[in-house]
Amino acid sequence: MTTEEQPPAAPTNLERLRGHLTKDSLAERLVVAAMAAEGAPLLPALHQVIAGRLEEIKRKHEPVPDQQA
Amino acid sequence: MSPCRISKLEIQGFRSFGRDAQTLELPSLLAAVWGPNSQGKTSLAEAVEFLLTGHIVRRDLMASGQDEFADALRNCHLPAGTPCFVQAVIVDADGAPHTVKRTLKTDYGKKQDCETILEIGGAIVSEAEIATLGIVLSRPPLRAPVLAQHTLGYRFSARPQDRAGYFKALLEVTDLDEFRSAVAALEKENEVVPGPLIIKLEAATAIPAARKNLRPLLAKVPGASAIDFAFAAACRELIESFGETAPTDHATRLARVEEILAEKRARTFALKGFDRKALASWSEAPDEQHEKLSVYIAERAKVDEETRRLTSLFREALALPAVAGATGSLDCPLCGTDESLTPERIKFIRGRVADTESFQTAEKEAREALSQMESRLKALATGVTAALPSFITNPSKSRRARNFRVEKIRALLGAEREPGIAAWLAALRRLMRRRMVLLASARKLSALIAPCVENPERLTDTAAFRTGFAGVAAAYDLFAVSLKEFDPLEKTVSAALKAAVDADSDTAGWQELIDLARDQHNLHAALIDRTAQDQVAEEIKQTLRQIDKGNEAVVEEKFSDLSDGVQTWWDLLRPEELSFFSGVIPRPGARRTIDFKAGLSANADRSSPKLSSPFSVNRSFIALGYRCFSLARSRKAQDSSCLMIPSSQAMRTTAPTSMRRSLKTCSSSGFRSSCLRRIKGRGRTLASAICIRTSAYSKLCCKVPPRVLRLPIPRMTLKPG
Repeated sequence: MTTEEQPPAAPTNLERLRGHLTKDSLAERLVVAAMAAEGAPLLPALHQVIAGRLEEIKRKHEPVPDQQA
Repeated sequence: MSPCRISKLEIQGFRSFGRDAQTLELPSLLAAVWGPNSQGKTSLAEAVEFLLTGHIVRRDLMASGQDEFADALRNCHLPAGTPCFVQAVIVDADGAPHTVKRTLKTDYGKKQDCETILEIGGAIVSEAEIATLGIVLSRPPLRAPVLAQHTLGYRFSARPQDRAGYFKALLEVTDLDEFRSAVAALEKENEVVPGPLIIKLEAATAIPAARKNLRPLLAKVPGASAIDFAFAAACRELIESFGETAPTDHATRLARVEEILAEKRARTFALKGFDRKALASWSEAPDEQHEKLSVYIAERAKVDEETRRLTSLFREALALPAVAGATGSLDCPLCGTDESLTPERIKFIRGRVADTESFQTAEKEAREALSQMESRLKALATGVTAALPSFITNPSKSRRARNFRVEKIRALLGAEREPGIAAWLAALRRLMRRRMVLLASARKLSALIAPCVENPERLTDTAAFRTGFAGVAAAYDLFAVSLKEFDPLEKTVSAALKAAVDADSDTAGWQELIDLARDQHNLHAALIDRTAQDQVAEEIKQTLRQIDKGNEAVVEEKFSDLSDGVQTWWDLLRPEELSFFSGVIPRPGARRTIDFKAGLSANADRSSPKLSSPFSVNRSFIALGYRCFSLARSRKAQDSSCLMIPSSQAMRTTAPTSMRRSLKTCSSSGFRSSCLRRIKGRGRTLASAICIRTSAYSKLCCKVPPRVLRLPIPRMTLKPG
C-alpha cells in the first residue's frame, strides 16, 4: 500500500473533543494546550493558558497609552 | 517488524497438568487446539494467563471464587517438592526468543493471594519486565490476552462503575477523564480570594456616608480618575456628616478625615498608645576602637607625665617666629631669662616634642573611640525605648490622663479576649524585665567610659570595656527575642481594640478608606486583578460544562464505532440469522451505565426489530468479545499472543463455515493463536473446516502452515489410596 493510499489517521480523543467546543473559547484553548503537551505533564500547560487569559483580560482594563504624547 | 508471539509452552503441575512437564509447540500463525471435555483446554488458556499475570482472573470474577480456588493452581496430586510452573518461549518483535518462566511459590488460600516467582532468561525479574518483551497487559481484571466465557460474561455482569471503567479503558477515553480532572483542578486553583486591598475597599464601602461613592468601584473596573473622584466625594460626605464644610483641596480633605478619625477614636480609647518603632539594630564597639585604646595606653607609657604636661607649651614656644628662625641665643619667651634659650637648648626641646607626637596621635584617636563608644550606648538606650509601645514609656500620669488602662482594654474587648490579653501582658512583663537588664548593663558600661572621655589619663584597662560591651550585646539579643515574641501578641490585641474602638466610635472602615485614598494606584491594579480572576473563574466553570458535554459526545461516537465493529463480527459469525447485535451505548443521562442491545427481526433485512438484552442472545457474547479483543489488540503498539475460547453454547450453533470466516478475520487482524473448544460430534468437521480454509489462507499471509493439535495432554493418574 502506498502512502497516498493509506487511510487518514483516526482523530485523537482531544481532537474529537475540540470539534465539540466553541471556537476560540477558553475550553478550546485548553484542549489545544493539552494536545500540544504530548505526554508532558498537563497542568503546567493549562496553567500557561489560564495565565495568558488573565493577562488578556487585564490588558483590556489597563489605560491605553496616549498615542499623541 | 513482526509482532511478539508465544512459540512454545511448557507446563508442569499447573491445575490439571501433571508431574511431567508437557510441551506444546506453536510454530504457526494460527493453531487450533481441540480435545474432548475436561481434557485441559481451559487449563492451557489459564496457564498462559498465569504466566503473564501471576493470577487467574476466574477467581476474581466468580463470587465464590475465593473458596473454590483455594489451593487450586497446584495439581493436588503432585508429589511434595515437585515444582509447579508455566514456561514459554516468547519471540519478541525483533525475532529474539526469550524464555519466560513463572513458578508457583504459594498457592491461593481462602482469603489470601498466591505468590509466584517470575524469571526471564533465568533471572528473577519484576512484573513490569513482562512489558519489555512487547506484551502490554490490559487494565484489571481482564489483564491477560485470554478471552474466555467468564471474561465475556464479566462485561455484562460487572458493577456499572466497573463496566464503565472497563469500556472507557477499552475505548481509550481515560485521557478525556484526565483532561477533565486537570481542568477541574484549575477551577479550584482559580477560586477568587479577595486580596487585602479589596477587603479594605469592602470595609470602606460599609461606611454609610461613603457607600454611595465607593460601591460602584466594586461593580466595574473604574479608571484612575474615577477612583480619585470617588474617594474625594466619599471624604466630603464623611466631613459633612461630622457637621463641617469639606475643604476643596483633596489632600486637605483627606487630612481632615484623618483628624476626625483620631478625635473619634480618642473619645473611646487612645490607640496611639500602641505606637512604636522597629527596634534599631545595634552591635558592640568594633575591635578597632578597643585597639585604639590599647595603643593609647602603650604610647602614654613611653612619655613621662611632666613632658606630656609641658608638650603643648613647648610646641607653642617653638612655633614663635623668633624661636623658629633663631640663629643665636634668645631670651626665654616663657620665663624671661636672658639669653637662656640657646640653639642647643632649642634643638633639645624640638627633640622632646617630636618624641611625644605618636602619643599625641594615639591620644586623639582614643578620645574619638571613647566618644563613639559613649554615643553607641546612648543610641542603644534611645532605640530600645523607641521600640516599646508609647504607653509604656510615657509617664503613668500621662497614661491615666488618656484613660489607657488595662481595665478599659478588658472592658472594650470582653471576656472572650481575656486569654489574648493575659498572654500580651505576660509578654510585656518579660520584655520590660529584659529592657531593665539591658539598660542596667549599658549604664554600668557608660559609667566606666564617661570619666575616660573627660580625661583619657584615667583609662588604664581596656579589658573591662570589652567585657562590658559583650554583656550589653548579650542583653540586647535577649531583649530582641522578647520583642519578637511580644510583637504578634500585641498585634492581636491592638487589632481587636481597633475594631472595638471603630465600632464603639462609629468609625469602622474609616482607616481603610484613608489607606486606600493614599494608595489609589495599587487599588486600581487590585480591582483589575479581581475582575480578571472573576471572569476567568466563570470561564473555567463554563469550560467544564462544555467539556462534559463534549466528552459525552466523543464517548458516544466511540461507542458507536464499537457497535459497528461488533456488528461486523456478528455478520461474520451469523450472516444468515435473524437475531443480530444492535448496539453498545451509554445509557442516556447516566455516566456509569452501558447498555447492550440485541435485535430480533422476522424479516431477512432485519427491519422492525424487537430489541432486548443480549443475555437472551448468548451468541452476542462472542461477537462483542471478538470486537473488544481486537480493539484492545489494535490499540497497543505491538501485538500480543492471543488465545480465544468461544463458548461451547455458541459453538454448537456456529456453522463451521462461519467459524472459518471469523478465524480468517482473526488471522488478518493479527491474532496469533486461537484455542477452540471442541464440541462432541463436531470436532472433526470443525477441525477439517479450519484446517482446509486456513491452509488456503496461509498461502497468502502465513509462512508456516497452521497446526491443529489434538488434546488431551497427558495427565496425572490418580493413585488409589
